[in-house]
Amino acid sequence: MFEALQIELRHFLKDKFLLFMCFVMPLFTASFVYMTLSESIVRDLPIGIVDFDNSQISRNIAFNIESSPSLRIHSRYNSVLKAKNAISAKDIYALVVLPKDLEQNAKKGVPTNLPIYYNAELVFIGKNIQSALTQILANENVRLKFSKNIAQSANTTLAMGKSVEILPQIIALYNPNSDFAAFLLPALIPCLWQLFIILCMIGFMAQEERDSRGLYPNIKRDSWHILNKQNKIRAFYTHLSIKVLLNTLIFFAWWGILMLSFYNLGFISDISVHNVATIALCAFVTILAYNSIGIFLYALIRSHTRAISIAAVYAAPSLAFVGITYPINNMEAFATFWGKILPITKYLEVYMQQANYGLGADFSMRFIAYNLIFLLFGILGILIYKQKAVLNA
Amino acid sequence: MREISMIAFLSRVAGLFADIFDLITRELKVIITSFSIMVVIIAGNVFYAFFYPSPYLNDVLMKQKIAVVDEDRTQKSREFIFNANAKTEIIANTTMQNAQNMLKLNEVYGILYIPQDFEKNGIKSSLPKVYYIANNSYFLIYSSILEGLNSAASATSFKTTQMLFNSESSPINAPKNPIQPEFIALFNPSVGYLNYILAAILVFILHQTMVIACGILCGTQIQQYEQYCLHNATSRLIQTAKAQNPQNLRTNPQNLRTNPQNLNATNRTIPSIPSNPYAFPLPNPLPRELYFLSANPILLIFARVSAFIVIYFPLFLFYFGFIYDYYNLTTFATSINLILFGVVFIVATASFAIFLGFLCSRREYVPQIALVMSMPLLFGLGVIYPSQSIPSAIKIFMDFIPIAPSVSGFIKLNQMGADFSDIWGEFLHLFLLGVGYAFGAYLIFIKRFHKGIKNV
Repeated sequence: MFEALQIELRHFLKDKFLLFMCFVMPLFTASFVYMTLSESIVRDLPIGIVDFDNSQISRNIAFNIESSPSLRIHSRYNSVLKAKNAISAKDIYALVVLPKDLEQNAKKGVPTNLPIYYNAELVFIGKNIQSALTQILANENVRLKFSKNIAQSANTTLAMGKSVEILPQIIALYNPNSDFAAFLLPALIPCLWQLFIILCMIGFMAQEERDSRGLYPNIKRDSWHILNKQNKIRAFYTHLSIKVLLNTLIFFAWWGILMLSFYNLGFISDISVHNVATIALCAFVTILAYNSIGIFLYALIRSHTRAISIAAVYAAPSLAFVGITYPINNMEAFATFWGKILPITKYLEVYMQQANYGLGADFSMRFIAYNLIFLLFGILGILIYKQKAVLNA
Repeated sequence: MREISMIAFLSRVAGLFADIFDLITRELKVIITSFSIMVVIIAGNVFYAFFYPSPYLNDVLMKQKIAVVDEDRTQKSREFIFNANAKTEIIANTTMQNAQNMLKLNEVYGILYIPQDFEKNGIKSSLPKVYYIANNSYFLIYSSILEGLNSAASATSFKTTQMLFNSESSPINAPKNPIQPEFIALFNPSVGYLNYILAAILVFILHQTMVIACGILCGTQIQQYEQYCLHNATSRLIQTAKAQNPQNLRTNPQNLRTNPQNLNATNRTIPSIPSNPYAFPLPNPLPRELYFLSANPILLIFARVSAFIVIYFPLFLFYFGFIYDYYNLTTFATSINLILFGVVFIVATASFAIFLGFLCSRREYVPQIALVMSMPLLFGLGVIYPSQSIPSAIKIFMDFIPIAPSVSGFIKLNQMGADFSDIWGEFLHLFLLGVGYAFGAYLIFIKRFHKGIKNV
């Protein structure tokens, strides 16, 4: 056992690329996405204005747009046609057209349509612009109605009540500032994490394969270390379990670092010990589940490159399927199915339940048990692998 | 004299073309006969084109489930709930405690809370309040619930009731909203997810498969070269040993082992690794799979890029001709613009991929790096997440990857109907990247195969 551990550790430390994938790349990719999303509240989106009215109201709207935190007036145009090219070239994301007689109509009480052309191709930006402009124009409406009503009733409260119809109070749970990073990172980084788990597990397995079957059979390195000097399989299970153990330990440590940084970034606020313990259990099972799938794929395919390709198809696009960015209830059968065969989906559900909602552990056990099913693949994979190893020897 | 030099020149040019043509066919042969590469190119591209969009097939979001807590229980509150049900799916009308539990179990994603005196305040003109509580862990669901409830609020009006009670105003005097915003969605009329995500993802898939395929190709060749050097060195060692002392070889194989670590290697016919396999000159002619050593590196890189154009151009047409249409993505670009930009995209990406491929010494390395970097790159593009909010360090990094200008250019051309003059910057950017990476690949090639080339 101890000897096997030594051999495995020596091989692991010799394999520079696996070390790189286990320790450098996770840190690099995670900090890359964190940096990308770190300025997580959208600010100063450039928009254009065409002012045909040039009145006090139109100037007031322009002023409010300029002072809104999420918008910024990039330039003013004389005609819609001139602004069209700026939209196509992505210089501006939206164009507000203030029509002629805007003020006159407002004073008369005639509603005026105010066309706003916005770039809906970039849905995220489009929604931000839409909500910012809706708010600005609603405020302007209240202001205009109020100035009319105050003239009639000379009572501020009454005039205000008549100007505003229903006052909605919006309570955004779990992410009060609509912080994009707090929304995306808790899903995105675990999706990266699972990809690393499966790739590194395959990497650990594939150390056996390295250069043992080259084009030129008279070269052999001492890499097939499950085989002993008499070319017999020796300590098969010990070696395999040490590989699994190493991979599990490394990525469990990464999980710990991840949770700590989420806590420091304020994505997880008040969380109790039993919540953390439940997530930890789920993370552990999830790592084992991905290890199992990695073993299974490698045992079946027995080629590092091809095993990676298949693992890529399986795990790389998982962010689209886990249902955070795009709701699962809106997906069709195939996509829902694919989400179900990824252990990370259940991990994220448990994470949400424990870290956001603070539910009891009993609610999450069902999902953790679900991920245990994937361990069967690991058993099957080990059996296949052993079979093939015997044949090879 | 002049004629002779002219003929010599022409024959040289013809020879060059023949060389290039020969190299391109060899490259194509290597690519097409490699199972791993073809799996990535064909299966990867075709499969992913149908696989990745599958979550987004229902382009527009359906109604989201909410619960209602109605403590007012009046006609107005019921009217509000009725209006709310038009744009959201109300599955329960219960107490706050129950509704919160349902929210925690993800049975509902939002709660509409109508407090007491809602109707009374409305009639009294003293600001009736309602509460929208929604789970903001899911942005898309959250915004769709809020949108639905907001439109329900604007549809619920106290005007007529107010007029009944306070007989001061007539319908003509009732103030309407003077400004009515009319949002016109450009380029993506349904504001759907397909146009948003897919337009970027499809280009991204082409880019990633090209990088991975080329990484496998270059990595395989590097490994073949190294193994051949090793094989060559060991066989030379055996030969010299045989020549020196034919008997000794059988009886004492230890003589051959220059590397003391391998003293305990078992099989006698297998000599161990020489300390420096590159010190032995490679025999001439080289084995067929090492054709790339005898070629001019510049021509080789040119030929490899051309081979990728040959393979990826049909795929490019398949994506932009068929797949875009299949998913009803907008396609404003004219075919000539699209093809021009597409070719420079393939050239830049292939050069980048060759550069990366020769940089990494084994065939498994590039695919793994490409895979784990795909999500970070996707968000760094500035399409899914606005480029205004991306820090400049990331932007500078992205500028060195061909995917960033490519996606930006394709989206401008195809989704926003830009002219070629609008994407001239992206075109030039890609072209420079292509030239730069081709040159980088040349330098790495020279360095990596230096000994091999010198010894041939």
